[in-house]
Amino acid sequence: MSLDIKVNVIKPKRQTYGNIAERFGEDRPASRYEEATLDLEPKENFHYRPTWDPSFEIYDEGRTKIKMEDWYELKDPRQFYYGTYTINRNKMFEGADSQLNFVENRNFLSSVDAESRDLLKKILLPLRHYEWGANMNNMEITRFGSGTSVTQACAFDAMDRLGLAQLICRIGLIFDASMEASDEDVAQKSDDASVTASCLHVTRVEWVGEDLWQPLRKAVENSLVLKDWFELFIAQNFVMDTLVYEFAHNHFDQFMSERGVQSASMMTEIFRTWFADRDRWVTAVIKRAVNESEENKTLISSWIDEWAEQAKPAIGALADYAMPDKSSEITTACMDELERKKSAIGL
Amino acid sequence: MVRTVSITLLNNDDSRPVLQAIEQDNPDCEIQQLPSLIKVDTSGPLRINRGSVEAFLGRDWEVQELHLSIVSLSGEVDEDDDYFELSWGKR
Repeated sequence: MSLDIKVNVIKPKRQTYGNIAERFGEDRPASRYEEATLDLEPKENFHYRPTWDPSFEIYDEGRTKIKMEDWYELKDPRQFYYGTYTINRNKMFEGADSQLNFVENRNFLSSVDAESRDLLKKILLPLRHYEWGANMNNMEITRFGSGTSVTQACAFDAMDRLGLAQLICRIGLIFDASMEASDEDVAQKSDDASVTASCLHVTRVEWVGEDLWQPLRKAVENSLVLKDWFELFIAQNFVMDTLVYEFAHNHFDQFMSERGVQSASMMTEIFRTWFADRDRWVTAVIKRAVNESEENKTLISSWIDEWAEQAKPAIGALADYAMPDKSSEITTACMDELERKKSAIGL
Repeated sequence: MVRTVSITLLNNDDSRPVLQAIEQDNPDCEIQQLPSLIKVDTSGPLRINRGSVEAFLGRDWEVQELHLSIVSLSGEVDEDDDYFELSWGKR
């Protein structure tokens, strides 16, 4: 006897939402990313202009000088929507957490010589303020940007930056703990001044007051008040991030491991993997906007140059401090990397 | 006689980019969308390229991930780091 399993196919009336089928030009199944992204922002029938800025509509496309026929063309190649984003980042940050635990439990930092340790603290820890600035900027783009494909990715990026800032804080706390363990004097002092927060506290004072950090702080603060959200995207996510990450998490990282401080690389590995991952998105967005029109191309190109000019002294100052022997060489290497990425986009 | 090779995948969000890659790289294939399943039939070899899937998926993809959504297949399997191929009589 043979058993024949009969399949009764009920054809669904439609494969996806009407607006998405309209975009595809056919009714085919859409991915969750597409369904959770396309046409999410209201486009018409606004009743009132925002009371806090009546010169614009809500979701006004005129908030940037960049013009796009369809803002939803600026897609995220990683196809992150809430579900995929949280799963991906959960995995990424769990990995970082276990690496930090490893360094902390083995107390690797206490074996680092005092000079290297101070240098590491000096360069790495104040970057948490930089990350916070990046968080603010991406939130600003989320607020004023056009098209959910851009704004949701920026919201995710903003959350990433907050997470990275917290990781840097954690590294600061590990420094404190290692000092406590290795230095009796500090442990003694902990009675009157709290040691747990000490190195992060010092870091903030340095970020606000020390000459070393003022060029970068100036660039960050100038970006915080930018009104054109696409210029902000270029300034923060392309120019400043490329330069800062290239310096701190590539050249400086290499420099530290040449000095035998491999534990630094272990603690900051996530910054490299994270940057490589999100850079695909940043590049894709800019590339698409550049391909849209000649005007966009000129505008974006001039923004990149303008911000590279602003950020260059910041990298110079950091390189002078951290690696005085080859400071100009490192600064040039960072600027070259930016130039390389710029020409890869077609500018 | 032409023997058909075929692969049946779960009809979910994970297989969709794989299906797109199959459609792109194997123009002769015939796709049946069944409830919860997608069945792909073709006479020639059926090839799934890692690069194509990655382009549709937007992230790195290992060919082994395919096995999580395979329901059934017919044909001889040739699997490598970069592709998964089904065919008859290729030895």
